[in-house]
Amino acid sequence: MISLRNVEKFYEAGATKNYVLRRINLDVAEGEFISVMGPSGSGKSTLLHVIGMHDTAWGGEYFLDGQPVHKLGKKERAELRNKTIGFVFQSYHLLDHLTVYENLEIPLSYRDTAKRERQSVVADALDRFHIVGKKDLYPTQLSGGQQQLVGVARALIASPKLLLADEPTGNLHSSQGKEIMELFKRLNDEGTTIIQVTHSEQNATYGSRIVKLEDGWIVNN
Amino acid sequence: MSTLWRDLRYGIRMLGKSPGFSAVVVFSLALGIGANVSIFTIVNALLLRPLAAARPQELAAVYTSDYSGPLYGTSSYPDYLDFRARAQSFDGLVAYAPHSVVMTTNGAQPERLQGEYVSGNYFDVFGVRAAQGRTFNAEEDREAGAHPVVVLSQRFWQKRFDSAPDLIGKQIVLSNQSFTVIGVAPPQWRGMVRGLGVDFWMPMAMEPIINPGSEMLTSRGSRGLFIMGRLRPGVTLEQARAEFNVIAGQQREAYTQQWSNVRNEGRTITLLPESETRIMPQLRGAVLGFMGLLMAVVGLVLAVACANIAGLLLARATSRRREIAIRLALGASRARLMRQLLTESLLLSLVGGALGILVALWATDLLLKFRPPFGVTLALDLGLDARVLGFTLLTAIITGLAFGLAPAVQATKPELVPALKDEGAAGGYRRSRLRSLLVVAQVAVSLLLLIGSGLFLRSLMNANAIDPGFNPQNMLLVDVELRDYKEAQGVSFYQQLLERVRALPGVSAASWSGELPLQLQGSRRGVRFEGYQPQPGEDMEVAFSSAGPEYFRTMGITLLRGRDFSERDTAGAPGVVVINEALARRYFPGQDALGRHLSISGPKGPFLEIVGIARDGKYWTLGEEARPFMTFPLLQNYEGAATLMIRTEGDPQSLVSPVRGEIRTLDQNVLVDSAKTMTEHMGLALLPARVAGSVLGVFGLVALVLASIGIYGVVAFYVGQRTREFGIRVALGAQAGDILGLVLKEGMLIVAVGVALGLAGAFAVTRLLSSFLYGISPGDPLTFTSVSLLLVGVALLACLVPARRATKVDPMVALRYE
Ligand SMILES: Nc1ncnc2c1ncn2[C@@H]1O[C@H](COP(=O)(O)OP(=O)(O)OP(=O)(O)O)[C@@H](O)[C@H]1O
Ligand SMILES: [Mg+2]
Repeated sequence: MISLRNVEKFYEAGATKNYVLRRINLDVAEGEFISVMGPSGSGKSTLLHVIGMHDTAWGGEYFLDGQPVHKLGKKERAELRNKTIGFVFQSYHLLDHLTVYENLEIPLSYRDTAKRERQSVVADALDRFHIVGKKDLYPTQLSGGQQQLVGVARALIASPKLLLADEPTGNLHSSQGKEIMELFKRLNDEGTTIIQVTHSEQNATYGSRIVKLEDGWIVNN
Repeated sequence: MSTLWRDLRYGIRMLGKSPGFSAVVVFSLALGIGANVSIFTIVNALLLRPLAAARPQELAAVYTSDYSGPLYGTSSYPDYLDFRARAQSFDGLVAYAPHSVVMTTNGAQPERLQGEYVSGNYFDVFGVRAAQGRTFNAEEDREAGAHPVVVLSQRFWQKRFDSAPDLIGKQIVLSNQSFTVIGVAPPQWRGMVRGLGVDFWMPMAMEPIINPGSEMLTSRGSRGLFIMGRLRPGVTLEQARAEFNVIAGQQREAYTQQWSNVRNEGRTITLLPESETRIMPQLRGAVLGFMGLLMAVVGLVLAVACANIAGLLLARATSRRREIAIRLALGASRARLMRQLLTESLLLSLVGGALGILVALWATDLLLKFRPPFGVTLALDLGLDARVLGFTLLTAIITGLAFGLAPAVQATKPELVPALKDEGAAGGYRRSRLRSLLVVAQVAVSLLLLIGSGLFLRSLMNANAIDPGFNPQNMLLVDVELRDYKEAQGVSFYQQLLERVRALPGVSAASWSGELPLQLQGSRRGVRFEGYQPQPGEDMEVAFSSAGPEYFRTMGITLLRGRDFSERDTAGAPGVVVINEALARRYFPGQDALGRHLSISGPKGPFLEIVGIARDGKYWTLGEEARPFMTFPLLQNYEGAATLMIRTEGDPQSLVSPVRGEIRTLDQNVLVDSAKTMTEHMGLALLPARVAGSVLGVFGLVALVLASIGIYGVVAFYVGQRTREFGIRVALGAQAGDILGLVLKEGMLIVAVGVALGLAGAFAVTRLLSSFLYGISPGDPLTFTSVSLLLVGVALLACLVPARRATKVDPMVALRYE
């Protein structure tokens, strides 16, 4: 499903280039559950944002679902991303002035989904994640675990084939973290491909494979 | 000192980093401060700048109270001489009176000059030395008519005589009397009436020569002189007042009749220091009030500009939160940081102030170029002086503090942790309601002003289509003034000139008019109509004018009944009058007015016969409703000044010099004040609309600029606060268009509310303008829509700049801070 070939990324600091990702070659098959690990600053988040197409300034080749992302224009990338990918953030990034319901609705509103359909999709998601009772609350009225639940629900709302999660449990108690991991496991079992960044060996055990980054290099392939 | 220098250098660098922001701020400051400096320059010239005399603080004016009571009246010459002889508290007392004369020069057109009759000690007491030649000596104002000498003003000498160095000792002719030019006044001395240009000064003793038969120098009842004097060293104004109280008592004793007022009490003498006489005391209150109002308006403009800039700074402060938080975390004191931020603000406001001076110079220059259509020249000294510069500096500093303080306090609030984690930017979505309201108000006001301006401009375009009741095309108007003519002489001059002008090639008709139509005003007089019984209190005054033979044919006014004036309608012939339809309808309803009579000399008559009824026209203003009007034969109602109306076959301008030639052949010294075409003259009727249209337009545009900056500030602030949100939305699939829409919605909501309020206000207010609008309703849909569209367009642009920045938010950067 994903194929990275010699992906590189650097930041320019004056005349010198600071490489953050170096010759990354990575293949991810459909249905895999991958955990990216490594020390702080090794480039994990960067890699995830490249895959998630938030980052556009990189070199090398990237195929997603058979499409050459490195050759696509801005519009096509956005289309492909919206169709394929859901993203979960470490600090949830819910919009504080919108209710749970409205937060879930955002991705659909950017995918030209009809209002009727949006309503039923959001209702399904609320149901599935057992947060129907919270739909009119604001994020600040939820616990961290509940917020991240909404974050995951939002990432999945448009039924992506690929779920990217950057330290999804980083801000949670271990029991809350466990809940999210079990959820990921279930999703993976249902067919969603997952790539998560994690510092926790414990969390990594839910996945099928571990990718280790150090100084921008993949060290365990 | 070194930290100040560092703050300055750092400030300059910060401002250089965001040149767009700096330019917008400096521009709006230049506008706001410029408006204030412009008005202050006028206030300074009118009220604050002392008379250009030596030691002006020693000067005081002396007023004799009027017969009817008001304190600040002028005085008579015999009284002046008494004051001068008796007052011990003054070192010197000066008398002066403004007047105008006609200067004639061989081979040139006669010109009207403004000047002052002055007592011989005028220049000496004021301590003014001649720039060329000399000023008057005491001898020259002793014997009536003995010394025909004149001192010219610098301006007149330069303008009229090209600063000729050899003019001193030469003769000029004023009111048919030869005068020797003995000197030229220094440039700063512009006479005693502020705002009006003075061309010359002549000794008071020449007055009887200029005005034969005048009693100004001999009659105690003829009060036309202003008096000012220099207090003796050590004498206070209070002591002088006490002395003049005594003098007033003595005058009353000696000249009881002339020194009594309407209540048969004694007249009083009032002394005022020079500082309170710069504007005539009677007008001072009104001028102070008007200037105060203007200062308040421009002060408000500056306050709004300040609020907008504070908004911009707040928007910028959100993007500098991290810089500031880190500085605080590193141990900078809050005071230190605030000083840094205020230095930046002051830097901006000082640059804005410097540019504001340029704006003011340009604006006041424009003001001086304006020629009021009443034949006086404006001559205010609107130059920069220490007072104006000080005012500008002070305004700039206050302005800088006003717009810089709140953002500086806000930005340095020590909420370290959230700012470092950049949570604040996403946490509180505080919209400043006050600021949004302010911008709404700016949009509404600017719309209101622009709609007003639009209505006036459109009605100016329409004005050409209004039927004034006569044919304004191909018509030349020449004002003629017969100064020293007796009636018989004058009538014969009018008749002869008409004959000669009619004989000129290219002239198809010609006549005289005592009062031109469409001068924005006119004369009315009480009338009695044969067979009409007025209601008690009914307005029986009717507008009128006088006109020469064949007036109606010359003007192209349709006579519905009766006849035009002819050469035979002279003083000896039966009195006649031509009325218009509106008059006939009102005072002879349902009757034939032709052949009926009216009297303008009371119930006993003589009664004049109505010999013609003319179609209604426009008489005073183009916008007026049909008003009753009557026209008398000029030759039966002699006036010493009239306008020659010439209907031409071709371009009226081509007849100007032939006509002037004919006038000169008849009499060299007749003053031809001006020659203009009827279309030019009608420009005067449109002056109020033109002035109102431009003034409203200028203020509307200023308001629009300010409103745009306000909108920009609010939207930029919104974008700054929501950077993280936009990042998240982009990460969740939002496209540039979605973000653009979100931001535009925020900005345009404010604009929509402002436009709605502005439109509502405009509908309510423009009704009051209807009498100044021609051929256009005060709710003219075209003006309303096009001005609204213009405003929405500009507002959209103001939103677009920060909105585009929002679309460029990099989700990577926005999401980075985890
Ligand atoms: N905008 C930037 N400019 C310069 N360098 C950057 C920028 N953003 C990230 N980096 C650098 O890229 C490297 C990788 O950052 P990244 O956030 O991917 O690390 P990470 O593995 O996710 O670390 P952590 O576990 O702490 O989240 C770091 O060394 C960081 O300093
Ligand atoms: Mg990371």
